[in-house]
Amino acid sequence: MEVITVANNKGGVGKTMQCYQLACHLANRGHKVLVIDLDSQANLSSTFGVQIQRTLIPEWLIGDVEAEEIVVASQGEEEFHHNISLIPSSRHLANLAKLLILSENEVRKNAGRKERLLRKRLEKIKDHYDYVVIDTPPMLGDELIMALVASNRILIPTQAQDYSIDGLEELMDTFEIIRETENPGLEFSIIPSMVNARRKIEKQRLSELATSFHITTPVRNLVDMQESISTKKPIFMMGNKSEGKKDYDALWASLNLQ
Amino acid sequence: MTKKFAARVTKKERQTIDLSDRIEKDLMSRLEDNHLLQGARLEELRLKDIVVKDQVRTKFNDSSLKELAANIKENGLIQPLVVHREGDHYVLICGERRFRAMCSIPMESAPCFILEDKTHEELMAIQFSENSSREALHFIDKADGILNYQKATKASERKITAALGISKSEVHRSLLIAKMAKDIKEAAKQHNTEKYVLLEYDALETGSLKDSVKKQILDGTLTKRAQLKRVIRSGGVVRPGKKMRKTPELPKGLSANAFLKVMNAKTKDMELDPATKLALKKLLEETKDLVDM
Repeated sequence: MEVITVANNKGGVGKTMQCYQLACHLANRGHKVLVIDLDSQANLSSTFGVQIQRTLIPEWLIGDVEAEEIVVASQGEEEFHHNISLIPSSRHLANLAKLLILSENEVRKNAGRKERLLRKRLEKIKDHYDYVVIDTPPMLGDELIMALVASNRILIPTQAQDYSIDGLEELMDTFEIIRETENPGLEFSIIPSMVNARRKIEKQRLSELATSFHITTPVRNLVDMQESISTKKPIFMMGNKSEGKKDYDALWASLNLQ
Repeated sequence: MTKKFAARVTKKERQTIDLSDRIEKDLMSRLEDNHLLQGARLEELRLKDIVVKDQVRTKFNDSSLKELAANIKENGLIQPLVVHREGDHYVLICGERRFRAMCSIPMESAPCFILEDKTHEELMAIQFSENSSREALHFIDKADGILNYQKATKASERKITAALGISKSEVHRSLLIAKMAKDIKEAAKQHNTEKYVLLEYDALETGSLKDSVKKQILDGTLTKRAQLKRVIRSGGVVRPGKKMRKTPELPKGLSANAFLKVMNAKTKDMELDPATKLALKKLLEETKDLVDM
């Protein structure tokens, strides 16, 4: 089971979009995929057609309920959705930090530290899935840290813009700390996202970024992506003429996710 | 060719899954904190249709009641009463002070939350969770309330902490107190016995000392923690008004250093052969080095 987290503490860089495309792509390749939505905005859940009354993710992490009790099948119609299971989110997840503090004893008993909770829970179900794809909220909170500790690799989408690159640098610091302490095997990939290559400034930022980090092929800011979310059809279902499909195909190939 | 997209469906109109349907009811009620008041409706009721039964709060203060009455007269009732429907009358659950104040003005009717088909324990829990958020509830009433809340919601101490906003140790202590014998609790309330007297009494080993402490708590001669300490120290009965001579004893919360000091003093008193004395001295010094680290 490979655990992939999509993260950047800047919001609006296309994290949720990438999770959606990645999960569908992997499922379409015949892999069993578990999608975990750790963002209290629950956009990823709703793109899979799932809206829940109140998330039980905190209870799952603390150990009050089992994974089987909170996993929901993707509600999409296409064949590949059978390969996708989802741990959905709701706005109540925003209370996670508070709940974890209140449950300090359980957390200690369970995992020693709260950062390890998610990893602990995933270990129990590791035989059920080939891939776990985790969407994270745009902040360096408990959700993100837990996801990083539990993951094999992180994908960091970033726009070729100053704020997003700031967020990326912030995250890289956290990444280093986690690699040194909890998760030495963690790898990362930086993915230029929502890029408008016609803009000079974005081209310049991209080349600057490339000097300090290894970056993947960029995903452009195309209408295809927006349509994909609105119609709830992943980009690979669009015709071969679709520029968005080309971008993502190239991306998955470069990340070796086939 | 223009593309067509499905119209946006608002979040409210989307189908919603309730995960709680899948897990046992029991667990869900433990997870939910606010289910107690579910299904209550708000209505204006005549005060004479409302009856007062057992209340969590058993002590009332007259002057503050007058103040409240004056306030309600001026501003009206801001927070509705909570009542439980039993047949054709309504039993008051929350708001006895407000109710009494309104009766004294007098007022005809008041807005009430009406509950139906709740168990006794649930009602006590509702009453308690309302009362606990305010101060000035006697600690025994509070403890009983927490126990009721625990029974009704089957909540863990952690959930109670979260739901009632009381610290964890407070919840734990309160549960200990609530589980004590009724006569002790009554006496403690009557004589205004300190909370820690009860807790320390509870922790005593069964025996003649515990029995004598119990007797003193029951007749109200032992109400302060300091008194209890004296009783425990002397192992007997306090005579009020007479100060007791303290017998020398180990320092409280004995630290390792203090222990070594006492041990050192004791060895000097003992008659030992020089070899043993030397060995002991060495041992003490070595231990002291370890402790100092």
